[in-house]
Amino acid sequence: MIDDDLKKLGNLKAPASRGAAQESAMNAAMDAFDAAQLEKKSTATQGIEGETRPTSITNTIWSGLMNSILKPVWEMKPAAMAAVAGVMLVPVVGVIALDNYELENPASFGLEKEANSSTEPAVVPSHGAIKPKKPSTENFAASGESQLADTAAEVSVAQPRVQALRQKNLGRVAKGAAPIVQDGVVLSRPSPITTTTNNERFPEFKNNGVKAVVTEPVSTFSIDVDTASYSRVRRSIMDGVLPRTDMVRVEELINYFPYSYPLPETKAQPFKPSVTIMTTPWNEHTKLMHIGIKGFDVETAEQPPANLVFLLDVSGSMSSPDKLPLLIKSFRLLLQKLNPTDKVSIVTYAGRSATVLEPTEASNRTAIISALENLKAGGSTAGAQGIEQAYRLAEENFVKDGVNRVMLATDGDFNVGISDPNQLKDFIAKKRKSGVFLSVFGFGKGNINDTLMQSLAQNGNGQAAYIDTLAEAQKALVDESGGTLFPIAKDVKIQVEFDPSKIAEYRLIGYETRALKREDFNNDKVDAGDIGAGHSVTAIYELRPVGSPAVLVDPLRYGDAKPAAAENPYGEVGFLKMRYKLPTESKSKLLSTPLVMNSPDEKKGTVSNDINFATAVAAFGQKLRGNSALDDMSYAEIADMANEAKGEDSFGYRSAFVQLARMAGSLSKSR
Amino acid sequence: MLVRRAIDGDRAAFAALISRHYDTMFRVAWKYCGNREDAEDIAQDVCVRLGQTLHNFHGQAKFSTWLYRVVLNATRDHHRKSASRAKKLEAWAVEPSRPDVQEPETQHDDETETLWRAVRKLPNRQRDCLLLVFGEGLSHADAAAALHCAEGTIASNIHDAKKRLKVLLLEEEKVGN
Repeated sequence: MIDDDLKKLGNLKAPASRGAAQESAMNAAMDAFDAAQLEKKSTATQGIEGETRPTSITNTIWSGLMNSILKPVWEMKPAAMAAVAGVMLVPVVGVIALDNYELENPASFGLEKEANSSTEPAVVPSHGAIKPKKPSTENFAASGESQLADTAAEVSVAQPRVQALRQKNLGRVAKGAAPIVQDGVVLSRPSPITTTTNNERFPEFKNNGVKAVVTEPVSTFSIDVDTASYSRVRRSIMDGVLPRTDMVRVEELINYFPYSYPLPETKAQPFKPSVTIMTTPWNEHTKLMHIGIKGFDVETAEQPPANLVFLLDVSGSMSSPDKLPLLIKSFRLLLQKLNPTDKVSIVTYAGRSATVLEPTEASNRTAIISALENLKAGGSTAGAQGIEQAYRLAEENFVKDGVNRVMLATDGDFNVGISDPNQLKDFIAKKRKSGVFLSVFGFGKGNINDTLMQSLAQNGNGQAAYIDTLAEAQKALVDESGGTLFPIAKDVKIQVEFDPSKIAEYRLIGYETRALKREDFNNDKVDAGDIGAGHSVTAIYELRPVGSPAVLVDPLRYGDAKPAAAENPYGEVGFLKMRYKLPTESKSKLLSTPLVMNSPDEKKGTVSNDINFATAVAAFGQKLRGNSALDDMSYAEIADMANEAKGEDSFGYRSAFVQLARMAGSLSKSR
Repeated sequence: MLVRRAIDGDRAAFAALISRHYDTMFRVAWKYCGNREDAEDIAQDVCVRLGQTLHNFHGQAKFSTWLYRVVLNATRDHHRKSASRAKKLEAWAVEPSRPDVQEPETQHDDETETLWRAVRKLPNRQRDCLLLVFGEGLSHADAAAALHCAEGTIASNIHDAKKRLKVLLLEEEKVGN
């Protein structure tokens, strides 16, 4: 009888699936797929050649974990369960809170054991982006227990389907964080936003190593005018935590500050390099070579006409005060830098993608401001065609010989309509060739996809900046708007050749992610960084002269690659070549200058404040990255050196740096 | 082959794979839990898991078999989550929440409905075996591959399930009368 019954089981027909549900599932699946692909592939950006950037070692653990999760729980051996529970220790915290009730109930303990080993991975992937990329304990330590419980409660109540779509943060607002006080002075009031989860992604990279001139006489790299790393480092220190090393890009810290290097004699040449070689403050046996570049600034009167499209993320997570509200204030600031006939349009994405403001002349301030003020965060669905709409508007209003730029502002949701990151990069690069450039502005903390942000801006001939305060917005969008908006040279590459009879070894400080192959220098097809009006860019090498006790590599015994040491170690020690293209041209121009070491040695006391300050920032960045070369120089010494080199400092950036270096010193001691 | 291409990172292939198999995911989930909302959530969860973990599929079994396993695990996880959520709500709610009233979307004869209700009450592995073998028409070998167990285990689970079902159906009858 029962056998006949069982046959009837086959009679049950499930109802037809709904198209909308399938579509939403499909979107979620594609997002998950893209995220997995992004992690699988090395996210090669401009400059990096054949180098993989492992995003996280936990990926491996994670996929292994998923493998075992896919086994039915009743198949799992107790040991495997324990192992899984162990690996998942940190991410599981939330679930323990969530399931607290059952834990107190011994009757359901058997079920609970299963839940601990398998519920969490099931919960986590269904939230998409909340992968335990870096189960960093500090994130959890930073958040109160009650917050965790809050977060967990939120998770448990919300609809799983919605969660799967929300590939966004579980960030919670921590109220009442104490202001940072030092020497009785309030240095900063931490913004009320602290996120408990951290999905920020940064490309990982190793410090540039010491290269022997005999084997590698030529060093080639792309310039980098991004400054995002500095704002992030500052925010981390202000929050009382030394930044993770992968957040620190030394060249971005150095280039955050404006320097007044000499300008070229005529405007026909957009910039010129100035070179200084001095004794290294942290190692008396080595030399530091500064290459400083300063671009011409544009006066508002001769500012080229601008056609700007703001592409703004209005996803639900943008609602916290340091995101959309700050973004609105920031873009209001930018308006004052525009000429009356410049055009502004606004497109939003995430949630509904919509043209909020049709192209409007900057003279109609009220219309633009009211459109900005009316922006509201909300919605979370993927599939918006925001980026295409923004580029279409930019193209429709294209101004010849002017600035045509899409300005993307987001907290990390790059769900702009093209969800395959590589396809998105290609799209942006293609548009760049047609003359529409892209700048990326990051807001908020916790969900910033630094890797993608960087590579998008690089592909779009633009800048990636991170805006955490209104002061930062003032800097990026007003004081340095020339650099942000008006490129004066693009694809700027630097190549340095050293004389092996004078220099034994060299090390480029920073620019790890910008290295180019030697042959790329003359290849105009290879994309590189851009310089905007008024931008200054600094590159620093640490040199070990022939005969210096600091030289690490022994000379070769065989072969004729062993040049005799020069009689006079001073004079020309190398040769600098730079290539750049004017913004509208496709053929590069060459600049070159010999690198001259003066006798007697230049020292801290004989070089300009700019050089000394940049050196202090370089020391700071390297120390934060844990470079052992800086072991003998303390944060206090770095702060003092920067303090002496503040110079005019009309915007106060350098004083703020001095404070930051002191705070880093206190934090490193308390660690 | 679609699966191979999707594993290798072909986006279009993955999309095609999902749309080809979405109905299976939904159908199995629906049989398991008997209502649309949960089945849609489970199917979406499965889609996300596939996006994340497809590269773990090494072709040791048929893809469709592997998919059954992912669906069953997702279903189980879903079940557990909603069970603990319900308990939590019950514990905290001042007034007991009303159980959701489900409107039947498909018309089946009472016998089939009753039978499935009973099947859903079986222990996990017994129910999984019945669902795959009788509900989805898999061979014992395929069911064994999907559940990562020996073929003999399927047979013995079905045997146990039959005994248990008799009891459950008798109970249903009593309630029904």
